[in-house]
Amino acid sequence: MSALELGDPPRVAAPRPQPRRRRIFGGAGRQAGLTPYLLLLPTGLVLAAIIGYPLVQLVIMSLEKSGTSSQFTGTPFVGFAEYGKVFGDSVFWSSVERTIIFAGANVILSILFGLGIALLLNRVSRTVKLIMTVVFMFVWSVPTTVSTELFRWLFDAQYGVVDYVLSQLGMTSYAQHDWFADPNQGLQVSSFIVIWGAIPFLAVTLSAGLAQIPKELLEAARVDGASAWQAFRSVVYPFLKPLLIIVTTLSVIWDTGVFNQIYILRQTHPEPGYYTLGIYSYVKAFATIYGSDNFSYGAAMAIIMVLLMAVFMIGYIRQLLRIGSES
Amino acid sequence: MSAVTTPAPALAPKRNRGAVRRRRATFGWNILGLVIAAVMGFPVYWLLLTATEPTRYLQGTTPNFLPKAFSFSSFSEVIHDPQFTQDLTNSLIITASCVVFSLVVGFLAALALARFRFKGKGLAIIIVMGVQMVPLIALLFPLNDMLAKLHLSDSLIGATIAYIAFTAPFTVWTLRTFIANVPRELDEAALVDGCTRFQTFYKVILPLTLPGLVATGVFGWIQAWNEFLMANILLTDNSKQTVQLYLVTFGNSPTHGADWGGLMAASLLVSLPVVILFLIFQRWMAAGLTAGAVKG
Repeated sequence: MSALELGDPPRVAAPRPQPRRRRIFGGAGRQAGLTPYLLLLPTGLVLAAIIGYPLVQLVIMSLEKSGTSSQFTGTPFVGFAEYGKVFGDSVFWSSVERTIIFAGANVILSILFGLGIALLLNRVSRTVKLIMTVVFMFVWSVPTTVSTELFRWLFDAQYGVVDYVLSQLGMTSYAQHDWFADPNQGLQVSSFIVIWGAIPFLAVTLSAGLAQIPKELLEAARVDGASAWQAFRSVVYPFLKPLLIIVTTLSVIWDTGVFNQIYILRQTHPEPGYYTLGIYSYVKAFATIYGSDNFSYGAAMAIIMVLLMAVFMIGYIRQLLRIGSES
Repeated sequence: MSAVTTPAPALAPKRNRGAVRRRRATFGWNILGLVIAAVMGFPVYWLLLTATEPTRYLQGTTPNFLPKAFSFSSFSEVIHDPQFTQDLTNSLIITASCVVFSLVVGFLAALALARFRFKGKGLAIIIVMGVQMVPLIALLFPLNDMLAKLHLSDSLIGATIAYIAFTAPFTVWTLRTFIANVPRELDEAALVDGCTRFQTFYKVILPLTLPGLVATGVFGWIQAWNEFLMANILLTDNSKQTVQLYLVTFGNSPTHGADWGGLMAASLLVSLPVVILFLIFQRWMAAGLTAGAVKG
């Protein structure tokens, strides 16, 4: 497999000795050599047309000055002027900061909860495990649009159940409390939605990973007198590490791209205090009501976003290919 | 642990003491597990309760925590809204078209990636995985422009094309895994028995990957059905909106101000098609995600 070149050399299994067996489809012969390319052609054309071409356009857009007024003025080439504007924009930098804190907190909390619940899932009785799994499946399947509207209702200032419960628990200042007046608190509600939605996938996946650990090893650790933490540190963690890296990277990708849980929570009109990179570029490029319809600016920001994400994605692909080549 | 703090009866055999301790610990874990299930499940319970309660109960000073009376009024409000039926039809058309298209085109590419050795295969794999990770927001700016130039703004076809941008790549990737899991020996046996290459594909690989096709299709269906970010820009005309836009518009409209019953009923109706599919195919969902489908 070509994947071999990408993995870390020491951990990669040797290529399987198969070359002598006749390839069924990809044998010698000219025609067979063309078949895979013909099979790939439709997908290739589709991806080139609806992803490749738009990405090139995105780069061009970011180098031009365009907006709703561009139909009258044309789109003059301005080079990196839009990037300069982006980097000189204090709202951009505060959005970057907010995105990092928001995504970072969500990733850490959801992985911690996910891992904790995964460990718990493997300790509870079969009935409790079934109950938990069924609940998780329902939570997992809820679309983010729906979960956001649902949490908006739970945290409603007038009739919301959260305010009611908190005030009954003695925190009377929370009666009729408006969670969204302060953007930082509003973003905490967003975090609740994100983490609530992420826990099922993380817990179920990690629990499946935990079940793969040979029982004898854990037994041996216990016999040797290892504490629960020591057993986790030197038996469970090394086994789980590849899977943990994958789900953490996925969480980074998802949580950096969180959109609905903020945009819809603020009823499609997020205040500047709620701007993450994604929200800000969306608002900049499309929301004419803000009087800032500016594709070029949004495009430049989107490209910066893609480049930032690329770092994580390369790591993710490497990890996936490495696991793929080992199994 | 309990053995350290509470002195166990010295006469009890060692193994028994361990078993008791473990049983007591399991009891504690069970309680914790049930508490977590209750906390996680509460929002879903609240959604169901709000949607089925008579609306007059929803605006009291104290909320009802247990169902008092069942009412269908919130649902009938949504179901009898012509906008909802219209949006439901639009969602069905867009979702079904992009899933079918992605499956047909993606299956061919998956076959190439799973069964052939050729120059540039590594590159093809990296492209298929890489494009999955391009943020939809980044694609949306130029796609919106492109569709406008093709006179496909505000059209179901335009939205379908945009959705294929995220359903096609992971369809290829997940199908590749399913095809790779069909043992090559079966292909060989078919060839030895005199099948042509096309017959081998048609009679061996296709039937054996059918469950994979269904699972991948369901996964794509869920992604496309739940999509909001692109639809919000690409489909502004009332007659062209999807159910997700219906839901969000409902939640924002001043006429539905505090109609939480209606909003939760709409939420339930919008999520029902994916929740049902999800519960049936849940086994594949986790597998698909860890196998490299990125969109969550």
